[in-house]
Amino acid sequence: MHLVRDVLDKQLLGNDEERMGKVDGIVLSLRDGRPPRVAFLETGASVLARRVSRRLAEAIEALERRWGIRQGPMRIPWERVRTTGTDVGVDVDARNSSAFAWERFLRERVVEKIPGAKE
Amino acid sequence: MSEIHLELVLGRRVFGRDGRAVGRLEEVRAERDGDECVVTDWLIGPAALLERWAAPILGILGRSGRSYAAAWDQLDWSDPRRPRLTCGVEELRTMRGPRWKQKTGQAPPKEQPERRHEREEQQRKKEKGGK
Amino acid sequence: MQVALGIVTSIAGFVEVGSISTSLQAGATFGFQLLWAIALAATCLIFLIEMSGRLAAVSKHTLADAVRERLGFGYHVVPLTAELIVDFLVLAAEIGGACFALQLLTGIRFQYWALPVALAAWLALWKGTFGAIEKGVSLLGLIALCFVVAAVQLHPRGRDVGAGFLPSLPQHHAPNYWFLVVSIVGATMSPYLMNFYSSGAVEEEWTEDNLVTNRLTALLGMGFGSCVSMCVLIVSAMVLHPEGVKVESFEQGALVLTRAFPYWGFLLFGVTLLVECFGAALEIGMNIAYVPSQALGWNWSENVKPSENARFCLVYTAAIFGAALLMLVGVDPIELTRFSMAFTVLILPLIVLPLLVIMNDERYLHEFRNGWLANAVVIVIVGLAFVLALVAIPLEILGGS
Repeated sequence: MHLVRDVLDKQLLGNDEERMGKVDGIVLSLRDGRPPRVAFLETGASVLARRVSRRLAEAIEALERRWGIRQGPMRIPWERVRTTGTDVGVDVDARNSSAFAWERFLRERVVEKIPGAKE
Repeated sequence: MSEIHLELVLGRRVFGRDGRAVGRLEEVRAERDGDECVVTDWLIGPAALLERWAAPILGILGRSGRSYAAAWDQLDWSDPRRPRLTCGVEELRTMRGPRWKQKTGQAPPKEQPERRHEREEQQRKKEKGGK
Repeated sequence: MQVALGIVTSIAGFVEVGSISTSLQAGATFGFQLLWAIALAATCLIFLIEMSGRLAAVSKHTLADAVRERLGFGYHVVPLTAELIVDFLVLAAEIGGACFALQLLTGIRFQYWALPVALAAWLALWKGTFGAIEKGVSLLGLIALCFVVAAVQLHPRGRDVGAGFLPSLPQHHAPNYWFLVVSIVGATMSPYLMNFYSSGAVEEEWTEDNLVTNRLTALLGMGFGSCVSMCVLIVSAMVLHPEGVKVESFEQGALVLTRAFPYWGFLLFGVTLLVECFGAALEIGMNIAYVPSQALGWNWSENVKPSENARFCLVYTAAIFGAALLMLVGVDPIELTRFSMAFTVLILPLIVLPLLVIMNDERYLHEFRNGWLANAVVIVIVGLAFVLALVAIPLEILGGS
């Protein structure tokens, strides 16, 4: 497996094949005397922003904390990865996870207040 | 135990023991080991980038002699902004080099074919050989 | 039936403010001389659309998905940002085109129509499904066939029309001629068309069984659509060119159908412009939400209620009303169209280049990868796009006025 070609930037699919973001980051855990292992896959606006600008990432994280959206990016332990390929399937209930934090926030605070949103 | 963010170190220059740049980190090979996924090689240089982007075109452009595969223990991550080799450049594999044979006296491990039809073909040949 | 609908959809999608205004200007200024530019751009587009559809049908990934996944965010952030800017400008131009059509039909200034048009477009996306919107847009969009009828009725000489398909050097106003070539390519090969088409294929749940439909839709749909554009040019060449009318406003362009349809020509032009621009605004509005949703991996679909994909819906909401704001403050849609066509050409190489990687990837396309011909065409299109991108800005300055 190639981590950049086969995992990074791939579509994350939760249970029921629900889209839940892309693999925006991969956290490798360094261990003395043993090969590094993939600890987590990360997804979230701040993770992606960090690839462009650290300041932008910090601003997004601060905004998310201030508005009570979430306390940092979502980390998915490698043990929850079911499949890799063109998509990365993970054993996560997407809609109830923090990957949908912004979706829930915007739905409750904005979209559902507009007539016709639920029909 | 510490951690590094792969997406942030991708593209960073890797330095040799003499402080000179060897190439850029472009890809990481890993393999599943039970529930874990462990790093086996760090791929450095333009051939690794081409391998990631466009395998068919690779044949036209050729693999650069200045692209290397470093084993998991051949990179020091004390400073993630400046990863350094823990060995000499001459000890690294070029993308096709027989480094395994050099260091351990063993033959290089066969790569698991990633395409399903090739795996099935291999399985059929094994079964035929076993009968 | 599916093929027929796909073809009709493609005709309607092809004809919009950019193709109408560039064809009108080309015909009025240079007669039949620029037919070859429309034919060349349409041929390139047919290949690109077919590839986009094939990618979506086989891999269930859209073009925006595949560019991020295959080439990484580091590459994708540039064409992604550029495409969003272009889509926004073109959306504003389409809303402007619809507003101008209403000005032609009612006499009320186009700025006053900006918010009503934006509201109508937003409502269609908020309440409609992908299929319903596409059916509506395509059936109403058939009104553009009035240009085909007009072109036939005006009896252009076959030899003159045929000569227009051979590339030729201009006898006058060379910078303006080449600027129109760039504009025609930009209007025809809009990046939004490729991603929108692949998004539609995923929305409609295409599979490998739809590959024949995909080819026919790309070939016949874009082919017929380009014929309509060519007829706009022919009619302009027959009516406006002999009078020396330069199309610098839609009012001048509206005269183009009055010879073929003496009583109804003005009205027909207005209604055609309104329907085509409104339909294009709906498609671009959806695409402007599709692109970031796919690039960032959000849940997205026009077939789902807004409360179930809030981010997707809020993006097109912000885009539509933001674009209407440009019209509200009086930005000229023709100037905006001209500028956005040139900008489209600038980013075209970045949009097309990834196809060389993606369409040869076995994991996405299995045995349906590009053959040597398709790869050769992509390389030629990338080369052409690079050349046009280099000359677009100088020509915009020299030939755009």
